[in-house]
Amino acid sequence: MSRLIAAFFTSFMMLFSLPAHSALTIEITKGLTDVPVRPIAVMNFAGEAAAENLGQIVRNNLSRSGMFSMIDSDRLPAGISLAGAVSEEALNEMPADYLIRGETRREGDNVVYSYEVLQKSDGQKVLSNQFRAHHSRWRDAAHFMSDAIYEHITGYKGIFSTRIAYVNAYRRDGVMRYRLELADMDGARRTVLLDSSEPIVSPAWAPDARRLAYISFESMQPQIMIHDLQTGKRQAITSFGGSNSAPAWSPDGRRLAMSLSKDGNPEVYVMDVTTRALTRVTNHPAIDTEPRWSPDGQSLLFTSDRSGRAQIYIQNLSESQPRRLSFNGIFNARADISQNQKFLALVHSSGDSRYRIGIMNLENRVFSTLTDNAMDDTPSFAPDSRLVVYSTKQGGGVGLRIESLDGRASWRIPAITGDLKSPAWSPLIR
Amino acid sequence: MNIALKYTTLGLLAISLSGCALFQKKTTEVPAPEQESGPLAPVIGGATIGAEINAAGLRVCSDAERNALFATLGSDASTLETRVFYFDTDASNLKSDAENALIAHAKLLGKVSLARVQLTGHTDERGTQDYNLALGERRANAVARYFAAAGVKPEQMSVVSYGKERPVADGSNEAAWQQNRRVELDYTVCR
Repeated sequence: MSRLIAAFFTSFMMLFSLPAHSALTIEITKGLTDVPVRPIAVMNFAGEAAAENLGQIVRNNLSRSGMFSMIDSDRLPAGISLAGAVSEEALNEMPADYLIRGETRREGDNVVYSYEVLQKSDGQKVLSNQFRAHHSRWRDAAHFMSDAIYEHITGYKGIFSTRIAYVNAYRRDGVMRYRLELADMDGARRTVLLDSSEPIVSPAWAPDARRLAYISFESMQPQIMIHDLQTGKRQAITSFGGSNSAPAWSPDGRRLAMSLSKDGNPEVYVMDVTTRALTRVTNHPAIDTEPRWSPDGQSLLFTSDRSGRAQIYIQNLSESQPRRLSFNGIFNARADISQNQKFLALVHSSGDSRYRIGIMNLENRVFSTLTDNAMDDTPSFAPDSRLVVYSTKQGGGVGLRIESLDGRASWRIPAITGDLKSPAWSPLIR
Repeated sequence: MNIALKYTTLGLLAISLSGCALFQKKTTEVPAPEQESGPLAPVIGGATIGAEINAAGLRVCSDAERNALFATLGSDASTLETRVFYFDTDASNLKSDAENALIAHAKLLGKVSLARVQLTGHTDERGTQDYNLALGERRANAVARYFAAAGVKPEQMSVVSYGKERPVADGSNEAAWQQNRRVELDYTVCR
């Protein structure tokens, strides 16, 4: 365990020792693939029942991550039960490295949640915790415990408490409508934030995870809206003539990069969210859109067709000329950069009429395709820099899929009705 | 609003309880900062009741109003029935088969200066949402520029792009894509 923690801190320190300008030349050698897939057993939780057994949610979360192989409870030795003492003998007999157990106990409107991680090798409780929360928050509690357990075993931050924002395009009485929704990363607990007769496109999370920016056509012209998720209050922040699109929050949450065509053709601008002051970043007769901030806030990535077809460019905000980053295939657009600044996920076409998610390793510039679909769009990294959510055409409609860069994890968030698109993975919620 | 208030109260409750005496009853392995900062993050979006927006939609002329307007152009009126113009993949140049209809619309707009049109640009499903919003706008602008060169006043035209958000044909094949790469011309004022 200490080896893992040490490795975690080493990569953590490296992250902070980076020079500010080095978005593309950083060295992070540690990847999650260095962590072995470990056999673990997660028992159903004892005590007060919620709509789902919390042990089941924790088990699904950890299993979905692809970092563990799940040992069924019926393969555990007889001496291991949902609660009570476990003998060292029984622990050593189990075909798993870790045993996870938990219990819930109702106290008025609250529930006391307790959970523990027992390690096979020394028979010790390596993690044991107890907390209380309102009984309605049992799913948050299950994700919270999953995060803690995942981080304890792998040494990496768990992201099971994060959420995904997306747009559900559906038909009501034969007419298309557009819902802005949130869901847990396993697709459960959908929340409708807005239900509009006009398209909603490109939701983007503020780094505080309390606000979303997105494009709404509710005024019959595109506007960039800011939606406060705590109060439900919405505000149009741009209503310029022409297109108002592709909002992206700066890492400090004070500025929005966006694409506006108010001066004739789509250019990338940065707006101060408080003062609404605009700074123009690009100046080219081509389409310049889909800006994304480098995590250090120094540069913007964007899509431009100035070379003929769409490709990815990067521009340092203190400079006037961008640099082309993508050279593989005929179309590369809407890049998202991982929080560790190591990868770009983008929409890629090699020229075969398929649009797939491509990954560019910024360290060695190696390009690879992550997916093997025909019609992918809008990749968005989870804050762990490992998982990517994107939309893809599947069957008759469009749905969301999640893949890990290491190929260990892959799952789908299916639509109940209509299409799911424009996914945006939230930052860590604190 | 009641629900919003309720959730806010619950959030505060959870935070205040985390510091109380009962919560100190913990096993030793857990570091103290975890207790103070949590345990659970606030509910995100949970307090929001999704508002429903029903926009009035684009007001377009009735068929009768439009036919009356078209009749003012006499023999060219049938050419005006072409109000959708198609484009090649990732292209925004006007095709030659659109020319007769474009000339007729420009002529009508030049003659009836109070008439107004909206040009709505669309793309097929290939490529990304925001890039396609830009591409659809480029297509609508190509029509607007053609009209402007033919003497139509800027205030007679408005342009909007829906990118790939509003296809008219389903399916992932060239036949469907071809129908979706388009600019639609709608008369919004027919006086």
